[in-house]
Amino acid sequence: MAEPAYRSFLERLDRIGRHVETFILVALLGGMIFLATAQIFLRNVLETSWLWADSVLDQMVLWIAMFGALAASRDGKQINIDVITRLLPSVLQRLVRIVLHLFTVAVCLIIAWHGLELLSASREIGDEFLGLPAWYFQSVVPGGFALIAYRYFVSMIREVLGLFDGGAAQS
Amino acid sequence: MIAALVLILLALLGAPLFAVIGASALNGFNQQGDPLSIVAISVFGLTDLPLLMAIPMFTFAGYLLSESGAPRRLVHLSEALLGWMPGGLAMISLVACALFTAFTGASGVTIIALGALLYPALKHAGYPDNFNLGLVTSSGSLGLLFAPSLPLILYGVVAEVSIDQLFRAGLLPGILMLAMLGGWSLWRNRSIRVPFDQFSAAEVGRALWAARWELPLPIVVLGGIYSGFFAVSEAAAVTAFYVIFIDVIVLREVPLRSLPRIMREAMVLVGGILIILGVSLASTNYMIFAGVPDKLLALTQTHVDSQTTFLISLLLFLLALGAILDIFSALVLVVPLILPVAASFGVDPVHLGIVFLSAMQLGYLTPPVGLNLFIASFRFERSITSVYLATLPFLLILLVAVIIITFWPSLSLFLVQG
Repeated sequence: MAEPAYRSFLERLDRIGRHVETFILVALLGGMIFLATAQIFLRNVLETSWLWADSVLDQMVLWIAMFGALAASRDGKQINIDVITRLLPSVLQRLVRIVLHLFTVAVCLIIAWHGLELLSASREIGDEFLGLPAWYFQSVVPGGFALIAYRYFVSMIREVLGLFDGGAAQS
Repeated sequence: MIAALVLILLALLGAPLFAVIGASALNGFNQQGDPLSIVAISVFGLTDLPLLMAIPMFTFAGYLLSESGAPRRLVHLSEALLGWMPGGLAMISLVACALFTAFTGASGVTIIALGALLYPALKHAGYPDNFNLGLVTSSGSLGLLFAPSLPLILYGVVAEVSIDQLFRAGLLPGILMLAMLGGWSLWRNRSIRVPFDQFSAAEVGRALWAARWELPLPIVVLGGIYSGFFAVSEAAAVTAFYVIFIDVIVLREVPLRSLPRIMREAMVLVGGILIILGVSLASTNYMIFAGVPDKLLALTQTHVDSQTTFLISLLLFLLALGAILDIFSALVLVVPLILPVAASFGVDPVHLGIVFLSAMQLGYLTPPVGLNLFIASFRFERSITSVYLATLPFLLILLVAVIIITFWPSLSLFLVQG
């Protein structure tokens, strides 16, 4: 049986998104390992150091946290308590998941939306970080939560579609 | 109140914990009339926790190691060193799992990477099947108290306790757990008197040679941290860099093209933990504004009058907590609340950390959500009930160990003060 067109569209979008995420995570983690190792070498062997490196490393942790969390959302691997749902009949499980996804979308959107206030406040007072406007760096928080909201929205749509065509819920 | 009940229900139904904690923080700030942007600001506060950098790098190094031949070589080396002992293979399993868990952070990787090697080996050597299943399942979280385990670092971050002190403090309690499980394994299998292997210096030499690339790792990392030569984040960077170097370039056991997948898998775990930490910073801020720690302190002081009763109630609370919540979420949510209470009863924060982690370690083995039970059930194709029953004796022994650790603070603090 051929896949419905909307499903193959979702699948393709999913694949592209996954590659982009993986690429960003590899760049961040690879950069972090390189930068941190280079710092040790500079400090102990050449007795110098890059002044900016420690601040950049601190920022990278936050970016890894947000993109890692985004990847965890896609892979359905966010940490949760998974006890009761296993025991429910499958249709009910699907309904519960729809409610939970909707809840997660709402929470993430509220955090993201109010996070924008942080950015505009930071822009107004002209906060700077490493010679760049600080909100460039801060934007990962509302941006990350908005993307996570989008992920859960897609998962929710999948579950709703699954109610009708019985298709697989998780990719 | 209603909001809290709804959130608890959603959490029990399986909502992502970061969303539940985020919602409770949003709800709290909203009721107090504070701007909701505090939640995003608190998440941004992840950049102010300097030790945090160690977490992605150690986790990645652990994932990469578990994909290489390192688990096989670790088992081989332990066999060569301990195989001559009666019951030696059980000891091998315990020691190898503890070491491996310290490096991989008790995320279930140990059961998958080492359990798959040890389980058939134990069976082959004539150990009873249920014993093997229980041993392998409970070993998956053994080593939580040894540096540089992820929960230990996370406790240091959340409780603002010196990491080196924690690393020292975990040593003896961790060894106690190992010794008790080891002793029981020997006694339980006293009928299998035949040693697994004869001691052979040549075999030890071969195993050492095979593991020559990994051997410097614990020495450099642990030696570097315990001696103070490396900061923890530096040790993490060196470890990650070195593991890539040996596994991808020198030994070529992990092809370069697998690196992105392994990095992603490791960062999925890290992201899942750190986002919970981020929103917990917000909910902790809210609870401090709302005076929750003070109320909790007052409440405890009216019901609890001595350090001993406090430790008893703490232990009961942690065991219940560990049964429903994973160690990472429990750490970031609960530690900020109980720290001041524990301090008022004269409990050292370093000792509290060791008690907290060792009690939560049991949570890996207790239903309904014990992670190790599920992984073992999945990996060894046994029903969850049979895994649980097989693990029960190990769980009871670990419980006794946790009680000793809780009521004997010097065991944790001896090496810290020294």
